[in-house]
This record gives sequence, structure tokens and C-alpha cells, in this order.
Amino acid sequence: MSIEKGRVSSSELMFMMIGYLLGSSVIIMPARGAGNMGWLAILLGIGESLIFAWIYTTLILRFPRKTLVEITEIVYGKFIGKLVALIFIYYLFHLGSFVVRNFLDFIKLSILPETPASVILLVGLITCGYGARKGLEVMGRVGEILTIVSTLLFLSLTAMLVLEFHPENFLPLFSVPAKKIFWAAHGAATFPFGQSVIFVMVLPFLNQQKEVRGTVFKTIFFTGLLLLLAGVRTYGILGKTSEVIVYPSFYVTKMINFGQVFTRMDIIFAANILVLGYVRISTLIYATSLGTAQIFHLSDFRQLVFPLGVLMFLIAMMNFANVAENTEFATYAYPIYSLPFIIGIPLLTLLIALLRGLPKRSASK
Amino acid sequence: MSILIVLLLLSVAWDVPQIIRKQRWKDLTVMLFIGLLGLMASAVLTFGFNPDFYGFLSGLFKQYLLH
Repeated sequence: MSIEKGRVSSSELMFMMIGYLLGSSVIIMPARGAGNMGWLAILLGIGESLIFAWIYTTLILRFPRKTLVEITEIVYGKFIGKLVALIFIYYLFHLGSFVVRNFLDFIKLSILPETPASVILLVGLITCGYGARKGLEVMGRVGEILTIVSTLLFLSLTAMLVLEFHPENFLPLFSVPAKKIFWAAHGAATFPFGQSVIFVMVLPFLNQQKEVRGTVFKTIFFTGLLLLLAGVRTYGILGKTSEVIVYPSFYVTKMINFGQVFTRMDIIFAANILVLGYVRISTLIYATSLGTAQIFHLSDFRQLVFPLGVLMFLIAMMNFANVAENTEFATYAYPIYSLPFIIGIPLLTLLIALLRGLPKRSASK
Repeated sequence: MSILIVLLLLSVAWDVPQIIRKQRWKDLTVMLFIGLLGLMASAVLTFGFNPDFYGFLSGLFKQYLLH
């Protein structure tokens, strides 16, 4: 019997996951290294991530109502299964600390420079931990509302920047070497789209299991469109300057001056980012706690939410010395570092399940 | 940092009575173990130990794979 008894609808899960994927990618823009061809890198990244998504959904459709942690135990056996699940949960945990650090750096540098980091972390942890403790149903409902509001705000802010847009910033086309474009595309496929690997922990709780694949593909498609819009908007306004600014997406909103009335909209954008950050971090804490509880066959995951959350937030403090190190890790190391977790484990599990002809009738029950 | 440790202790203390009442000893062990890891992490932070794992990885990939 599963620890999580909640069920979410297709639209709730889709919006929650859009919020999750948009979360820190509006802070650290994906495909930054591709210059004026960033749009192409994002499009290629969407294509690559659809392959990842196909693997995740095939796995979930093969083992209905089972999370990856439960699937690994069926496929690899008890001991190796737990080991593989632990490695996967480590990744989710580490990703959580990475994301927390992104948001901490953003808040410290852009909004609250004088506030001690521990206060920011405490407020964030209480909010996100409370959300995660309430379970998937609550997170789904809250995520749906917050993501819709955030997306509408993002579109409104983008519309106010139309007059600042300079299409000539994208010329000459294809001036960036193909190697750089493909590297940036792979970077975009792993961050943020590849992080949709967390789907394997929440998709089993979708109330209509036949909608699994459609929900995942729609999520990646809409997130991709929004990120493409954000990337094109930012580069179209800032041009090459966007490559040296730490938070270009945030910086462009400072330039809003719509009829001398709508100015200083950056704080609205910042609040918007924090809302998406809540969705993202609470989802990661939830998946880590649920996975840990399933590995050890605990009776509930809720008591692990705050201890794991505190640990995650403490590790976030140790992750990087500064923002430059964080950005360097995201650009150069993360696209390779994340591969064993986002593609290696799910693909290997699927292949072994196919070879062993799993699930057998008794195992699927 | 101490505020986070207070939250950690409070969160553990919040659930412990109920877990003991229901005699879920495995739940208690895992929770306390994670709590202990949290305390160790805070100790590492307090003493300022930084293994620079990420700097090492970034340097490695950047130097040998991309150039």
C-alpha cells in the first residue's frame, strides 16, 4: 500500500510541474552560452527532453501506481533496488539544495542584501516544508493557482517590454559555432527540462493513469514555450550584455517604463520568482521525503519533511562559495553530472524491466 | 544557523511523541538519523569546512572535456 493516498488531476499536475520547471530557470537562464542562437538551443533542448520524457512515461505506464523507488525494488531486487533508489533520492536531495542556493543567492543579491541568510532560509523552509507536509493534493491545488497567476504576470511584464525589443540583436544568424549551440541545447535539456525526472515520483498519483504521457508532454511543451519567450525577450532587449549580467531576466524588468505609470516592476517579477520557487522547492522536499520513506518502508513520509528540509537548506549553504561558482557549475558541470540520474537510472531500469519481462502479473498487483 | 537548528529540533520533537505512541520504531530511527545528519551539517558549517566538490567538478569538466 502506498504511503501517499492523495490523487491529483491532470491539470493540477501539469501546472504544478510547469511551476516546478520554470522555478529557477527564470533566474539562471538556460542556453546562455549560445548567444543570439539561444532560441535554437532551447528548441533543440525541448526535443532532447521529449526523449527523456518518453522514457519516464514508458516506465510509469509499465508499472502503474508505482514510484521509481518502488519500481527499482521490483526490477533489481531488494538490495540493489534500494541502492539504486538511494542514489536517485540523493540526486533529488542534492538538486533541492542546489535550487535553494539559487534562490538564496538571488534574494541576497537582488532583494534583501542586508538580511542574514539563515533568516531567509528559515522563512523559506517553513513555507515550503509546510506545503510538502500537506501532501500532493494540496501541493497540486496550490501549484495550479500559483503557476497560472505567475504565468499571467510574466506575460504581462513581457508585453510591457515590447517597445524595448530590438530584433537586430539576433543578427547575424548562425554566427555561433555549432558545438556551442549543441552544448547549450544539451544544457537546456538537462536544466531545466531534464529535471522533470521528478515526474517518476509524482506521476503514479495522477488520477487518470492513461493521461500520463499527454500530461508530461504538455508540461514540457508549455514550459519550453515560456522559456523560449523569456530567452528571446531577454536577448532581444539586452543583446550581448545579457551574457555578463548575473540575472538578465530580472534585469530587463527594471527597464519597464510603460507610459510613465508602470515602472519599477522588478519587485513584482522578484515576487513572481519566489512564488515559483515555493512550488519548486516544496516539490523537491516532498519527493525526497516520500522516496526516503518508501526506501525504508516507513509508515508515513510527513515526519521526514522538516528534518530533510533543514538538511537540504544547510547543504545549500555549503554548496558554492559565490554566484559565479554556482553559474559555472550549472553551465559546465551540471549537464554531465546530472546524466546518470536523469537518464541513466530510468533508462537502465526500463531496459532491465523489458529484458526480464517485468512486471509479472504477481508483481504488478 | 542556530535558527535552523532550533527548527530541526522542534520538528523532530513535534513528531516524536506520536511515533512513540504508535510504536513505529523504524520511523523514529530514520528520523533521528536524518536529524543527526542535520546537526553534523550545521557543525561543518560552523567550523567552516569546505571541500569545494563543485569547484573540482566544474574545473574537471571544463578543462578536460570542453577544451
